[in-house]
Amino acid sequence: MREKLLQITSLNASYGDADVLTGIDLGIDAGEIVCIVGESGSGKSTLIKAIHGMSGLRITNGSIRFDGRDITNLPAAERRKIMGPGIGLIPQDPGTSFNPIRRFDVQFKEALQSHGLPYDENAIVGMLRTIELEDAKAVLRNRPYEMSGGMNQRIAIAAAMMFRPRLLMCDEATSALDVTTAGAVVGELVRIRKEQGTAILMVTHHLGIAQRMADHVGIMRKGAMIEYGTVRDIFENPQNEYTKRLITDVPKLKK
Amino acid sequence: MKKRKKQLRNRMIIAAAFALLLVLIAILAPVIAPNDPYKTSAALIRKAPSAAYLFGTDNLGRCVLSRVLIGARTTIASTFFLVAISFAVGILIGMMCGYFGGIIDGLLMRLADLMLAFPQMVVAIAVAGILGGGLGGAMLALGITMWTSFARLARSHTLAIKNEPYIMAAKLQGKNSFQILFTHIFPNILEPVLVNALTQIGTTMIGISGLSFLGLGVVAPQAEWGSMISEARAYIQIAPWAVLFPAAATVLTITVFNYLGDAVMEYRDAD
Repeated sequence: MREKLLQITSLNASYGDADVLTGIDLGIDAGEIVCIVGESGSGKSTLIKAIHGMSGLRITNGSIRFDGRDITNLPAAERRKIMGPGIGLIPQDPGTSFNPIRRFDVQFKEALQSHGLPYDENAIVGMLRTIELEDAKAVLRNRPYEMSGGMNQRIAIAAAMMFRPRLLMCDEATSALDVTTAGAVVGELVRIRKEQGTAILMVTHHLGIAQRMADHVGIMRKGAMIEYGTVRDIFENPQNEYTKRLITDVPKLKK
Repeated sequence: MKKRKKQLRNRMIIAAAFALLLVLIAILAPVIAPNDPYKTSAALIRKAPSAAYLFGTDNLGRCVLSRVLIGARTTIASTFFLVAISFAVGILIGMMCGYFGGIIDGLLMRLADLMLAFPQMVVAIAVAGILGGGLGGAMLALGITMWTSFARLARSHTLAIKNEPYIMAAKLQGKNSFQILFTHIFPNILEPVLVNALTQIGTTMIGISGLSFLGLGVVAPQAEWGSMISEARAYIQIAPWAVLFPAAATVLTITVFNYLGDAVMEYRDAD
């Protein structure tokens, strides 16, 4: 069998004594969108941290392979090469992922140069235009604290996409946004996948988002993946009791 | 809400204008001063305010107005200098404590606790007494405890942001701790610490004038409000103006800077 772009095998991880992730298996193909859904504290954001490996999380068992390479316990310098062009991250709160009082162009420049890439303003302006930031040149002269949450989120997406990563991880990338903006962001992500074949791992507590964009959906609870399947299987024929409840709870909320 | 913010903004601007005016007076004092502040005259001892000597003259026949103006230089300049030094030392120590943690943090913060355990003025009097008179001694005496408030504030703000994703991103970019401290942490914690510096100006001024009043700061014949009050209080019943005007200048200046500090703080907290 051909190896997947990202392959996580029986992963356990912990911050201290107790494991916060137990026995996670997950594979993502190139160009595939996988959504991980779960309540707060289910370990879904921790899963992303385990993959990007820069948060003090300790992997106690299992392995993470990216593009045929074991990245489970990679030293920081090696990991830096993979992050960015290999794996991109759209963080939960874009307001704090940029230094709030430095201009975007300076920050973009630093990020690019740290990967040994040139800073080409026209290319970045073009990238910002594709995510419907029309006055992109002016945006680059601004500072993050001057922008709205939605704008910052879009710029964070652009920052991640600037490297054309093969896997894009979104950690609750829409949770800070209002419904309309969240919808637009989801639309942009789907379009990015379509145009560039980027694989997307999206963590969200919002089932609707999963239903709208995912190919596969994983349900997490208490640090374990309790159900995994195609979006159709999960929404139309859920096996796990918890999943069933999650899905039936959604219409109730809408009433 | 918007309206309130605007009001607070205007208040802040007015306070800043007054403060600026005082600083300007201090800077221009040698130009404005009508008489030589150090020239004594046996013929003009303790003259009441008049057209030639608006604030009257003191025990040695020196022009009180000129001395108050020149004294503004000493008081305001030494206050600013002291606040600036404490600010720089405090923010540096605070950032390092917050960012690195561990033993450095433990040691320096316990030292800060130790300093805070004594009332500032008591420490200052003791230290200034040991060092003997002089403006430098007085400033050192006050500075010994003053850096702690900046350090604590800088430390807590550093702790609050040091785990923000952009700091982590900078680390991932391969930035060293020095670069992170100065390009990312320092600019982001600057504002609250700067506001603290502003609110410290009034207290520091009281401190310096107070020490001078006690004879532990500025020494005669240099003009400084605290020492002027101290000199003139002996003959307050004969020439109250020699005490009154430097005292009024002190009260006014401290009020203006305290008000400015409060105004900025309120403006910042309002939304």
